[in-house]
Amino acid sequence: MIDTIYVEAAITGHPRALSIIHRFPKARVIECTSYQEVFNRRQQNFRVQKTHPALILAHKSKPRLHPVPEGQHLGATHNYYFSHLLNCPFDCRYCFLQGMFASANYVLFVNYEDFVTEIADVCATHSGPVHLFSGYDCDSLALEPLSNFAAHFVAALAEIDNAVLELRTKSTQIRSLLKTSPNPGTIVAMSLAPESVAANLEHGAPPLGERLRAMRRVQDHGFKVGLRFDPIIPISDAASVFRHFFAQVFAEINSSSVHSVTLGGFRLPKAFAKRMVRLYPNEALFAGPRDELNGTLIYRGDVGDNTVAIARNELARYISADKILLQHSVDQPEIPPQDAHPQ
Amino acid sequence: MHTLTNLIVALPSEAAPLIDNFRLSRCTKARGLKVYGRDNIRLVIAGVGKIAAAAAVGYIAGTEPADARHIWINIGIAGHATLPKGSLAIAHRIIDRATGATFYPAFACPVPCDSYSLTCHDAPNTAYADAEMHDMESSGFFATASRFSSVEFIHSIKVISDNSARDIGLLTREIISEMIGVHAATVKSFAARLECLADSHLAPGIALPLEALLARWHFTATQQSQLRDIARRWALVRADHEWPGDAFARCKSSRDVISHLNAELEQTPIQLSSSAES
Ligand code: SF4
Repeated sequence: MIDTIYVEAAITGHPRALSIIHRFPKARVIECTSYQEVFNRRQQNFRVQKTHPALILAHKSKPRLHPVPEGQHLGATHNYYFSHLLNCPFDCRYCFLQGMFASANYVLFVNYEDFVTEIADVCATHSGPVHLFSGYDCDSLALEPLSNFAAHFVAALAEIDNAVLELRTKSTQIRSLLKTSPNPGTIVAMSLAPESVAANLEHGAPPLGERLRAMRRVQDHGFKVGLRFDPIIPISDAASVFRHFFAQVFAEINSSSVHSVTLGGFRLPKAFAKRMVRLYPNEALFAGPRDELNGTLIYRGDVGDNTVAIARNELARYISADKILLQHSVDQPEIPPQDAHPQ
Repeated sequence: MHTLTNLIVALPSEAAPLIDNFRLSRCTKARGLKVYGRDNIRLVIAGVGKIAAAAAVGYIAGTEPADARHIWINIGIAGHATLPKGSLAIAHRIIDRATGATFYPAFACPVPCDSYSLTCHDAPNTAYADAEMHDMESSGFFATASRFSSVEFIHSIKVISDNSARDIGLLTREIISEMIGVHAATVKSFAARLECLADSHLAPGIALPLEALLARWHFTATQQSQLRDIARRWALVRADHEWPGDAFARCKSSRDVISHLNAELEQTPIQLSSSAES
């Protein structure tokens, strides 16, 4: 329950801000000049704030679209990410947002129309499909009842011929999607992990079974679905855990009509990892064996035991190897770029 | 490492009911400021104004152990144009009238009263034109306390003492003490809630003893910090192995020790069930 809302003075009259504030009649509403005064200041504790996050309503100025880092896309030529929201109501212990942001408060940028205009402008400069990732700095759907993000963007981006929107989520907030006509330019991508990983590390996120059922409903409704197995947490007994896990996944999801599947090792920029250890000094997840590569820590299961490779082999029982996209892994094999054009 | 709750007040009349309620006694070693305390609670009578409040915070932070976790609560009277006299309020924004600097205390647990913006003045002011509280300490208090603690643990709690210049003229020491005293128990339970939050979320890392290793070899400052980190990781993933294993038998230098212990860690996979700091 949100009991503190910060709102930038410039948007106190914005209809979206007003309607969100209206939903929380008991919340204290505090005006600020810029969201950064509250969100970016030093001397905040992400872990403590996570117990009781506030909502910050803000205006996002340009640039609103950013190029996607290499090795983090679905193989298209033009890839951008944008963030209508910073942070997430779930509390995955491996989440890099803990190391990236000083604050666990949610920042919701209410000027959706400006995002859509900028997306249209950028798409107009490219002739091929433009992949737009909305779940880099947040979970795309987890705050849907509050944000109406998917309801707005799925419909708005359907008007842009070459726009392909990826909604990435662990949540089961699919009601607005089920009310929207599916279009070929939207991929609903669910992040999944074996039950033991989800139970131990994905605090507050729906259990595997609920995520799969939500995914199935979205697939049945006609949306393209993607599966995201990223990060693969290094665990012992990986082969049997992943065999059982993928059997569960593909008992619910029709593998032949899955749009894309990604798999990635557990990796963290070193600076983020350092902050996360400071927040959770007694978390064994960050204490295991790891390699350092160009400023990134790559956690592995054991010497000679690459959980990503094991998971990939198990996954290949259901999905052809050329459809599995590896996202930055220690021993990433050469995979030809895949055109994820939705048409 | 322990959690200290620090109460910063301007006036002796504000302090008196808190000293009673928290059962504090005078710290005879304190110099230059009146400090009261008991166990993990400190109260400083800072004097009036933001500089005095800042000095009081600095004094406590400088005299307590460097690894203490601090909770800071500034308690005192404040003016407001319309709030009922005697009511309790907490600041959700503090504006330094002289500099324009703005601070936002963060609420990470339920608070015991309504919250308002608080403007901090350099000199007495009774032109309470807007819906804000007014005091003379909060900005100096907050700016300094935020050097030592994160903003979830720094709060200004005010008792509304007056709505106008005329009211101020009627305030006596007894009235102020009575107004604060009414809310002392509430302040105490809020402080306890913050302490609980700090204890459960600011826990230090597990520490394994380093003395034997440090006595045997010379470790540079950087190596000592690497060694502390290795010991923390060891406690988490190799708890069932003796620490530091066979390092004494096998190593010839501090550098050897670090690479030997690191190599041991690199062979040890994490067990998911032990990985659950929520
Ligand atoms: S669901 Fe995603 S964004 Fe949210 S906490 Fe987990 S990893 Fe982070």
